Amino acid sequence: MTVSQRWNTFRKSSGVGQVRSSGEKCRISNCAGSSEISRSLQEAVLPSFACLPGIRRSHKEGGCASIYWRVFGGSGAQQAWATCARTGRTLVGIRSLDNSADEVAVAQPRERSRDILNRGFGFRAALSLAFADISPIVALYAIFALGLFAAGPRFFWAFPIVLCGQLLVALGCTELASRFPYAGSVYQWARHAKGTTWGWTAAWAYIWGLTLTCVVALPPRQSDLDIVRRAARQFGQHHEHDAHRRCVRGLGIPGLRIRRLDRRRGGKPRTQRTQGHCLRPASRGRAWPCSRQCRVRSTGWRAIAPFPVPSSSRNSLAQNACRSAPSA
Amino acid sequence: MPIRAIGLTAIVAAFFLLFAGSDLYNVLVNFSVMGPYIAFAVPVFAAALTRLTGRWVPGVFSLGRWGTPVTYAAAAWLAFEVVNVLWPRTQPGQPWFVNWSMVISLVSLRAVGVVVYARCRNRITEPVGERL
Repeated sequence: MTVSQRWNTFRKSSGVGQVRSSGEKCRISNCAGSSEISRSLQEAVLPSFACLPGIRRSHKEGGCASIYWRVFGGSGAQQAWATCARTGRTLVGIRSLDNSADEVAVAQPRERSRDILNRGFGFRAALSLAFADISPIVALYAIFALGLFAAGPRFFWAFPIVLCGQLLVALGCTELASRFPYAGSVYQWARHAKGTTWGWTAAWAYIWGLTLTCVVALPPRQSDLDIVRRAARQFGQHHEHDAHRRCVRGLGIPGLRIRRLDRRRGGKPRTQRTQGHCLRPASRGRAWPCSRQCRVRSTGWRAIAPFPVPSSSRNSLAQNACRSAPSA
Repeated sequence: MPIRAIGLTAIVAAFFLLFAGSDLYNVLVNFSVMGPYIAFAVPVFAAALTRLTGRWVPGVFSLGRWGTPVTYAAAAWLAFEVVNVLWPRTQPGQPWFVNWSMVISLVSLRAVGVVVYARCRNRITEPVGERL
């Protein structure tokens, strides 16, 4: 039995005859399992597969290799190529121009599928592009004032928390990228893991997320400016330069002293007064309720500080917050 | 170079820039926070599901036995963040559709996406390398 006869036999027995039209690509392995397919290809069709480490390894582990198949109508030419999911490379393409040909196995290691990630970037170029694309600076200056005025000093704890969470995501995505090293990132990962609909969902969200990020990166958002302005008005004048001190104390870092921010306004740089300042916003008729302030400041404090805050400073902060004295 | 894709992105971005300062712009632009979270949540959830069913085959880079808990933790973190970002906070002085802008933009973009996907789904014929 010639190689191509065995190929055809295998093709019929494995149900590959589901090629819907000529020239269409089809995946050979459907539910029979990739290991079966690679073994058949290895033994019957592609003798050269036996010397390819990726296929052999994948065969052992239950099919890391994906084998594609293409039939050109009329001439009967067939083409198959195997993609090793481990290395992400198309290892071999074979071509049978005629059914009577004996030698069909032609190793073409350079042939690549369209999906394969073209590694045109080195480490440095990829790092530079990623830094420019997902630069943290853009997001930081967009949200810094907003977060500071909305959450107070506790806002800084968002950085390590979000860093840890996003690090987990990055590690998970690293494994996915290593498993499916195809051009298209989230689309290919989700698509290969769960199906085309999943991949399309991820791609659609990413398309709009990135496109709208292009928009938002250019001008400062009016709503942000409004919020910051309103918050600044609400906090009152003297709380603007208190913000830094409160941030430092909020972080619980002892001994760190920040000069007043209004130094360049002509005033003398003063040392800070830590007592007697209330944490409430300046009351201009619409101050925050004191009870809410106390609750937020005291409980949220203990919950979020990872190391013990000295009880004296905690108490004084809470008392200051509760004292509800109008602004000096 | 994907010239057409880059050009289309630039045109669409410039078009939305014309709405700068309006409320519609704020509603749309808020999605820039939401979009990447969803985009990375979907494959991480997919990986977590394949790990749950025990069909995950690691690639070249693998975290070893830490891979599974890290993926679960990443999925949990992303779920938390998506809910957190979607959650409408009431800011004083903002109209309701700015407070609910995440939900609104997500639902509307999802509706458009379903229509587009239904139209182009049959044309996606690229093979799936290894479906888990």
